[in-house]
Amino acid sequence: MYEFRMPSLGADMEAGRLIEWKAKIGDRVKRGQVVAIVDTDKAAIEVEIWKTGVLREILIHEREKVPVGTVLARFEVSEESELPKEPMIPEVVLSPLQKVIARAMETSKREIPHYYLSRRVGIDAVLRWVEAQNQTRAVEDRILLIAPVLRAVIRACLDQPLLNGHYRDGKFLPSRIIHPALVISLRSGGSIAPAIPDAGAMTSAALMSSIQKTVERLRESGTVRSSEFGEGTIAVTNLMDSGVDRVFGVIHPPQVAMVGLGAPFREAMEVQGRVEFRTVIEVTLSGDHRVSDGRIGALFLKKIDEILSAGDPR
Amino acid sequence: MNDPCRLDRNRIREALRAVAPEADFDSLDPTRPIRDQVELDSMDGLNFLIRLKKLTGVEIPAGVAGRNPSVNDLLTELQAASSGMPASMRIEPRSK
Repeated sequence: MYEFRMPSLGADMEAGRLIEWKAKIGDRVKRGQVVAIVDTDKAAIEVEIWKTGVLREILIHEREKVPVGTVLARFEVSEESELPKEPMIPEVVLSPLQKVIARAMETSKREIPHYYLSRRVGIDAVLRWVEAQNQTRAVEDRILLIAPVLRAVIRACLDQPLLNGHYRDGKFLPSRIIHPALVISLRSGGSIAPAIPDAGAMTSAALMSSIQKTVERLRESGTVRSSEFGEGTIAVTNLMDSGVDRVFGVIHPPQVAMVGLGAPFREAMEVQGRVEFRTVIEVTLSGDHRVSDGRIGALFLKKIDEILSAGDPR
Repeated sequence: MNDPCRLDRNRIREALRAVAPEADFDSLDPTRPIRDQVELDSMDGLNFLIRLKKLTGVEIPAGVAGRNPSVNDLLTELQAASSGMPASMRIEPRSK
């Protein structure tokens, strides 16, 4: 026997009045057929049955008002009412790496009160510098835009110690050394944010070499070094190749800030009454509001803008 | 298709497999930019060219790399280098 109950027709519905039965005892009903009309506070609603069978017993009569879940009638269900087997999409099994990320992201969103800032940063000068450099460099020494941008982030960190360090047990420990962790997506799914070792004093070219070797190793052999884990003091997520305008990253605990880089685009800008064009990226900051605030974050983004406007951030 | 060309194609295939193992090289349109057909970010693109240089000894110029090359563009570069003839528009100042 299938028990046909007063349905919940909205999260706030507690009870409904049965206005009319659309079937009588002995009637054969089909899956999807309207068998009753119920009045809620809002409207009269036709209620369908999701089984095929025969109405055997009516327990609640017309005009009675009953709570949600009350059995209204009993149906003898026939075999054919079984739901047709729909092709199932196989469950996605998370890799060990993806589980680690899942736990870190849960902790982050549960515990870290994020604030978000964004600033458009002109990159024409730095693009010209990259292009000029690459004319004279062998392919393995070529520089990508990420290197000088990461250099600018590191330099801007020097002025803002509240963005660089670790928050643990209600205390923030600023780090004297800047270990930027670069989020690197993997083709197999998930991402890793290895710290670029000793990045604090590196030139853009040295940073590039370090980034290139790290990415090649992670993506081609999948090996991660233990020194790359847990050492980052601020993270950078680079979506400059992805076509998105801006990315607000999720902070990796125990870090307290994540910088996001969007794809370069051209924009028109008013300069002394005339329109000029420039290439920009949107640089974002996701900050931990327990440690820093919008004023500090704004100064940080302004500094990145100033550094990159000057070309190579030595 | 002559032999050197097939050899070069195989090297491009091998270099691409290193950075994008899922890419089906034979289904690529050789006249369209590789990055329009295979998901490669700029880091993959650079590692692909580094790999290609290890396999062929040929340096794909930054200008060509920056124009988002097709398989045919790369073949042209590799052929030009192996015949000792400079590829057109090639700028290779070695100031250091």
